[in-house]
Amino acid sequence: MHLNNDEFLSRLAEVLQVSPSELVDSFKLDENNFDSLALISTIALIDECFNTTVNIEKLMACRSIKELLALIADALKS
Amino acid sequence: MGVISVDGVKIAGVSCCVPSNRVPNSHFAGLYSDGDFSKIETHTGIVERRIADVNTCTSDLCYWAAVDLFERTKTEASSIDVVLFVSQTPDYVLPATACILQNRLGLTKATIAFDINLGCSGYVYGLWLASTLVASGQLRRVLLLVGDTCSKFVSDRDKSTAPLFGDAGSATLVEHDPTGLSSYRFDLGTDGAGGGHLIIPSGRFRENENETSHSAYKSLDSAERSSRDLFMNGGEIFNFTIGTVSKSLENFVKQVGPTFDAYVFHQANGLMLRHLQKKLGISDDTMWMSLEKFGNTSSASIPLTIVANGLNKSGVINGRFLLAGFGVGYSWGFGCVDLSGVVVSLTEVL
Repeated sequence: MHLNNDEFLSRLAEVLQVSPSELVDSFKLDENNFDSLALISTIALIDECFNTTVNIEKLMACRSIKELLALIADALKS
Repeated sequence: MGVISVDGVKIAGVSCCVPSNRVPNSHFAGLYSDGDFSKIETHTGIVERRIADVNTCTSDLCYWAAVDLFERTKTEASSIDVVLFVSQTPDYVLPATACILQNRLGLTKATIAFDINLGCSGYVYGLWLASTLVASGQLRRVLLLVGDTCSKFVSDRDKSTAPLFGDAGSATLVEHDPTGLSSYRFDLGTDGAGGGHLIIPSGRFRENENETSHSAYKSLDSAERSSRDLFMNGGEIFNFTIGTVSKSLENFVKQVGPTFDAYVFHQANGLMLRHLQKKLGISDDTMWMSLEKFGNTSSASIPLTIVANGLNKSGVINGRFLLAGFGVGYSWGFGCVDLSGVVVSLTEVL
């Protein structure tokens, strides 16, 4: 199952307990519930939506939605 | 290594024992922020766990499970040839806890007794070894004791571990089947490169305890724990599960499947299990779960899930089961076993 970014972001909003409209490129992950519990849910979402896995250290280092989507794009290329 | 077949073996019964002390998630209300506390159930699927008191060890839970198992299966202690104790929470560094349990259970001095240090995959490894030992018929009965009291080595201020782990012990009676009709299948594997992602760094011989071993420090993920507490890199464990475990399990199912009456996986975390269930296309009614009431009980989680669900089916289970243990090590083990007519029971101790 491969879903698009919009579907991924919509479900990520549920994980972070924010409105989907808030998840713009500049949204600060580190200031908005992106903790160890949310990290696990995000890995599951990435696998489900894009059928790929990402490097965990790099995922934990993501500060914004822009960086998160770039990480997923890199994983899909490799 | 491919699938291992073991013939001439049957399981007579499975008993589990848990502490009567129920600890709900509200235990963490004052320790975590309101937001973090409310997310525990959503993210983990756990509502409460059973926690052993300071005087109760894994061996105590396994002892009571074994006493109950002997009674329900009408087994004489003197008929046991081997006792295996699979755990990461033994009574002592030495001697082996299996030796202590041989004496405590009144098993004969001819009993073969030894420990195995494994966690999440431990039940399947124990079952494979016990089956292999009795397959030829030279040894007739193995008492497989599997359990952990992980609550004793997690820091309450580490929300990546403390809300997950519960305590439990189990006893499984594995016997030689002279009809030779039954056939168990196993697939086992290891990737020690992942060892550092689920580890208690200090307290043994690579890093002996020193004056700072019990001092809590704040880690990068804001958890407070000491080097004598369990560290878990949940992200890496999840990647291992949806990568190596998922692919190996799919391959195993292709070789021994295709259908099973029940799937019993190590109860790692609700989110992880539901994700794995979806990936493998397993229906809700055949995916047996127990972590809502018991949490992640490490090596005991597979037998505890069998027992907890089997008790809803009049205490005797039937059918072809797929068992899957995976985690610390990294280590994983899958088993395809016929559990028809197996007696199950669950006891509690104070």
